[in-house]
Amino acid sequence: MNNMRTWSADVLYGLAIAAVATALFIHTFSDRYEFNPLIESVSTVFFPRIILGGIIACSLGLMIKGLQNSSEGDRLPSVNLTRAVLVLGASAATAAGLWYVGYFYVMPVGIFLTGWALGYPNKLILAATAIVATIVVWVALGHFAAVTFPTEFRLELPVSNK
Amino acid sequence: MWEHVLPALASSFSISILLTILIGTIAGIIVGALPGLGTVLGLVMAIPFTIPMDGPMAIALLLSIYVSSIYGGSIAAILINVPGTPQSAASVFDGYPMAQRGDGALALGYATIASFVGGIFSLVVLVFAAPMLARVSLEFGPIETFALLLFALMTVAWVSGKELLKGIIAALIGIFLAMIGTDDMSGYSRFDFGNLFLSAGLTIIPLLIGFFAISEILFQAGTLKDVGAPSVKGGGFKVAPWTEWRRRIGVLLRSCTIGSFIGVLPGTGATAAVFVSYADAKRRAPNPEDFGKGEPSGLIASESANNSVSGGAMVPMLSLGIPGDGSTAVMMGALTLHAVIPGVRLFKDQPDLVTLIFVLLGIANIFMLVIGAFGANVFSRLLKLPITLLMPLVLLMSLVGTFAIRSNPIDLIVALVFGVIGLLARLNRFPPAPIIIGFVLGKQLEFTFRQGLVFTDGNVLGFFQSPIAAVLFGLTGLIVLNLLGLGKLVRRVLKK
Repeated sequence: MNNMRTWSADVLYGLAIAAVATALFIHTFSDRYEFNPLIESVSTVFFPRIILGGIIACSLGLMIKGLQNSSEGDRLPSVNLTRAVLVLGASAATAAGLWYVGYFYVMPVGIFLTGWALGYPNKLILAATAIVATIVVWVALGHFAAVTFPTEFRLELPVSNK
Repeated sequence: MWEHVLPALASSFSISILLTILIGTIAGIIVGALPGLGTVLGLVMAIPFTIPMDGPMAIALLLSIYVSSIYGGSIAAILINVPGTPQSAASVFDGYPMAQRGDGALALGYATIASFVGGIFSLVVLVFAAPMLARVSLEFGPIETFALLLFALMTVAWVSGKELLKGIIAALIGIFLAMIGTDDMSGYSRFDFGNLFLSAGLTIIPLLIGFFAISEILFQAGTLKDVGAPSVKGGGFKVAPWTEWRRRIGVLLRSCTIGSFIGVLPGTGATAAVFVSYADAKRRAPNPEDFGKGEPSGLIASESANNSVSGGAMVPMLSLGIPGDGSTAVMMGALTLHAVIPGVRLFKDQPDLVTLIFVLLGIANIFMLVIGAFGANVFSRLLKLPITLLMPLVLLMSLVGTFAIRSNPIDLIVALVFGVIGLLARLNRFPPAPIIIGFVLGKQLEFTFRQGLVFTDGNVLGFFQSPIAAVLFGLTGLIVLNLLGLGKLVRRVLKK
């Protein structure tokens, strides 16, 4: 995405959106959406087809616009992909951990990892913030808002047969 | 409505409601002041806290965050030259120069009072306009409703400015997402690909959290340049003398009017209002050359306009169930969690609740004024918090908020997926508001369309037999022609 100009991003996005919309449009003709005109006035996928058709048309328009503007155009903002992927990974791991490992174990680690991936320099303050925030949110939501969080391991751990 | 005012006042002045408004106001100002967060994120993060609340308390929290976060953006705009929220983008032009010359406290005084006046002005507009619009819409059948929704969505796309094609695509994608799951009319499950979760349809909260909160975290991660704390110029609160305010009354009232009117238009939002208002104030000023150099009129124009959008945006939301901007779209999603369905039926079936909303909005504005005035120094210090420390906290609230709605881990996956989609959309300037508004309105749009087809025996041309619908379709058509660049051609032909 770095060094990509807006026009080429428009072509790429237009192509991707048109491709997905086309696949979904074709899907609306599958057997599961069989239409019986004796029972229904319009098929259940009649309106989705209109919307998907609109998306396909507009996406093609976006591609054409991109190609027409190929001699000009700003650059997309340059993106630090490594950092974005690290933060995404930390977020996904935290989300998975919230369910499988439990709130108290995973949240401080997730906050710390996200802050570290973003580049916050002081690891001590980051760790303290992670712990305090986890406790504060648990008290605020758990006690005052009566929200329950998973607090136990859900992973199946191997059991010794000795 | 007026018979419900006293009971609404009585229930609003309970300790629990006032405390909720106080907390919401403080949280809203903080969220607005810290760049990178903003009104929508603040509302999204507040949603899990509203789950165990009753309707009035939840509404009080959301309204106070909504109103105060818009004002909060001016603090960062004035003190660190970075708008805390997009709605305060024009406040940097004159707010920061004022802070640079040592008038930071005065600038904050102007911003706070202008925001308060804007909020109250738009509340008056809301009180009179919303019931009128609701009464008119009682005459609307499915065809008229369909025409109105279509017009609203086209307007949302239209205000995407240069990226209007992307705005249309975004709105259409939002509508499509709403159609995943069970079709309410036929009972068929659509686009679920055999997945039980998808057959239940997507819910709005994980979508909002993913699209706004998680995508913001990823966007910051990808584009962040400076990881340090910003340098804060001044702080405090000081009220300018009455003579200074008196000569700016015209600017104040015009900006409030512009903000309220633009707020009523679906999809426009405060960002458009502030620039229109600022440009208007500069054009009419006896000293336009001073704008951009610390002229208080510029700051007043911006801050009164952005807060007057708050009431204006609630007019279509409350009376028609059409969100006026991204923030009201989030509020609608949150209100439905509490079985409060904005729209014409709300005025008919729950006029006491509508009156309560008006009263709570008024109280929220008063709290914003008082907390803003007394807490200015404290909020200024918060600006020193670096974004790299804030974003992990936003992640915490996002994941917790997503999970808290249904305790369903699938919602976490949805939020993350839409976080990535939101990031890709931001990178290529796809506007986020049309997707959300399309999603919110999508089911209703389809339902009214199909009901209309039943009424007209499947004849689409029959839709034009309704005069109201015909006018709305005509306006929609004009927008489409304009979007296709054919507006000038049509005008030329008409002139001939």
